[in-house]
Amino acid sequence: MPKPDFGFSFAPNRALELSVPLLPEVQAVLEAEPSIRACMACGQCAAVCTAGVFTPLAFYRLVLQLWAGEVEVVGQRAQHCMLCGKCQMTCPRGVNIRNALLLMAALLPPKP
Amino acid sequence: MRSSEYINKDEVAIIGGGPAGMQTALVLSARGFSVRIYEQKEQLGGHLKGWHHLFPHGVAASDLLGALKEQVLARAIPLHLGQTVDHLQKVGEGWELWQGETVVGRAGVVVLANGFALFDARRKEEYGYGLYPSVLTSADLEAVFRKERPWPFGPDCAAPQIGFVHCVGSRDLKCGSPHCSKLCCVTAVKQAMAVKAFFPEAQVYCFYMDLRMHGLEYEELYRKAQVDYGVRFIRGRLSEAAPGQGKRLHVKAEDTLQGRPLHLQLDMLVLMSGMVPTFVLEQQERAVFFKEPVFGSGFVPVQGFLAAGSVVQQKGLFASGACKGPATLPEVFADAAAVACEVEQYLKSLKAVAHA
Amino acid sequence: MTPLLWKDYQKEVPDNHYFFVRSCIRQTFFPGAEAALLDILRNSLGLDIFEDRRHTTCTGIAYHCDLVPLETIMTVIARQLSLMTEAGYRHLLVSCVTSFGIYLEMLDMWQHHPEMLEQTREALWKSTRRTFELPTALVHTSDLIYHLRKPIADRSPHRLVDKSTQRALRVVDHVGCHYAKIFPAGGFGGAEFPSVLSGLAETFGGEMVDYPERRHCCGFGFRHYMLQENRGYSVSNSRIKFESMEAFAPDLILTNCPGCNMFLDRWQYTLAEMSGKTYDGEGKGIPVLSHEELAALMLGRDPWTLGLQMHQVQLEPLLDKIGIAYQARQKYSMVEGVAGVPREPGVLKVSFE
Repeated sequence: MPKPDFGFSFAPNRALELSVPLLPEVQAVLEAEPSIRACMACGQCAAVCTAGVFTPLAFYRLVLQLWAGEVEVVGQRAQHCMLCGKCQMTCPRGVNIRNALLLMAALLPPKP
Repeated sequence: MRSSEYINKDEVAIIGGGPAGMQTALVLSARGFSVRIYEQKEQLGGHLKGWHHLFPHGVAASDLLGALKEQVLARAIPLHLGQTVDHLQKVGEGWELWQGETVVGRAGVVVLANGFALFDARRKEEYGYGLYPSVLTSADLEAVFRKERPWPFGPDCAAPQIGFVHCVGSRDLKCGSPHCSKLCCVTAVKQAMAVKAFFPEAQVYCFYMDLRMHGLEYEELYRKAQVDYGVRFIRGRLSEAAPGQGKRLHVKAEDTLQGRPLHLQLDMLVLMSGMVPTFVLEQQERAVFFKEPVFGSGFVPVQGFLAAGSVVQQKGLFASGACKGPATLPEVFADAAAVACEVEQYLKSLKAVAHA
Repeated sequence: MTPLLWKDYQKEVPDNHYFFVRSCIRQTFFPGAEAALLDILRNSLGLDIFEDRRHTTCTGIAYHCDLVPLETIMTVIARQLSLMTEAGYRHLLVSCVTSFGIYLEMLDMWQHHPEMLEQTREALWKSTRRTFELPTALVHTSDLIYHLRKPIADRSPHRLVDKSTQRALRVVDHVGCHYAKIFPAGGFGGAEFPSVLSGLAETFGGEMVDYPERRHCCGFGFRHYMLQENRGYSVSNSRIKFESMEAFAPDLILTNCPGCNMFLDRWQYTLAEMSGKTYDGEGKGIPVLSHEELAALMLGRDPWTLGLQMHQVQLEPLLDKIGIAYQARQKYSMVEGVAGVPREPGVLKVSFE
């Protein structure tokens, strides 16, 4: 019997599943730059971000998405960084944001 | 009509033998006043008895309590342990302390130091306290640290998943507690770190609305928990706990920073129970009754500034420590000393009137 | 302070003398459920349950879809109550959870806005020359079955136990959202700890499974279902429930609401076709019963007279587990003769010959 066309479909569950262990590539980023853990999502990095004015780059959001295992989005958005370093100057928790962004950008495999 | 002559106007009765009561008694005693402590339990200490170690430096609670008790004993402050007081009767300028139909004490000044009660976590039914054995309160977890009760998961669980819920029965109008209980934030951080020390492989999550790290070195503790202990802070209040796989709990929350619902399986869920009043004052013309709190009851109301100790509308009745509202230990000690000074001023003013 | 604990909350339910109002959709999907309810209450338990054939839909579904205005539904409800008043009853027994929520809502609104009650009395009088009294008890049929669970269980030859292994059957319940989520005091256990179905299943010897998404909406949602292009919303919600209960390998889903019953049953077919997945691991789906259907089965009523063949997920595997005898050949015997065997769907197995 052919598959019926219902005219609608179900949406995936968008809830975060925290019980799933961290991806090894996320683990690797956190180990290479432990200061990422100090982020408290205050948003100062994003408020001063040069690229954030015209791209979806916001470092604190990338940290949250990294924890959530969304490596592809993190990798893509990190490409927008211009490495100007204003975020790092302003971060009250002393996160080494430039290194963190380089590690995040490397999550996206280079074009073959 | 009883004469007020049989009351020693200079004597101070302190109701409550916790940190506030002991400290108020110690300061007054050191300044030459005659004080007595009435404590309804058989031992001094109040909630401090149940703590294992204290934030922010991890001092053993028993060390602090021991030092306090030692000073109380050294000053030979009379103790009425196991003595409940349920109302006060005004006689002349002073007070009679009553329990039911019996007068149990007399004093010129009474200081309320009854402290606080822990919010009954069963009332946040969606968290399942009292239903699921792996749901504990912060006080229960201190008892685990003190080896007075077991961990809620077996020894085979080397890497337990543990969640802390901030603001349980605090900042919650539906529970009748609109206030912030103030010390739960830092207590959760302290306990999260302690749990990680017991189980280095544990994954620990704190579910908070905002972290109120107001005290000296609290904020530093928070950062340490994040960076050195790997505690994860999720901004969002838990919506419910339900049985999960095996003996685990399944909890739901919103990660409000990501704007996404979140699910998690936990081996232990710790509810940071807030501070609520132990009694409400029913003030009559010449009597004060200590009544069971009702929904929305506030703490003891004081005159003027919040830091003051003089109970509204009652001459010669003072309040010290957390019975006036949530307070940390350093705040309680400072407050107790300040209240003792207020009591001293009051007693001196009575003498001045008498001499005039 | 002694806390009000919903877990222990018991609703007051009168023992007898009810005016019964039906669901408008239940008989289409689960044709034997209401007949079975009346049969149990009247014939097995000897209760006085009165039904007036002139009563109508409560218009709740249309009201929730913004198709029927408030004044209209109030007047319709008033007319039902006037039939109750005319028959001399003050206990209202409601078959449908949506209707139950509607009655609670109207009574609550009239209590807080007496002027609306007066307007409704006037509207009903103008249009029908009828008057009405308010009910003294508003009871959902699942309340009454729960209230009478012990006398029912005492008369039951069956138990919710796997006959061959003596294992208690695992039951997941789904209580309709409008049963207690709008007015918690209207239902046993309130919204947090609904015991109306779990208590019933346990009385019959079943094991209740408190699965994480127990309180999640089935996905009916009225307007989310009415238009075909919105139905993805509805089926996604049911899917969340199935995914959550799957891990506990339930033998049975128990519901008390016609809409939930329908969706938790039919969407299993839809999801099986869409994703190739069934949630029982054997391709047969998880059977769904309403409280009346379960009570009737336990009391030994014939599954086919009960209309179980009209369910999407077929019941034979469950009947076999419990040890309920049935005549396979009678399954599609209708009053007009033997109906054809329905077509087999692509994924969900519905015949077991």
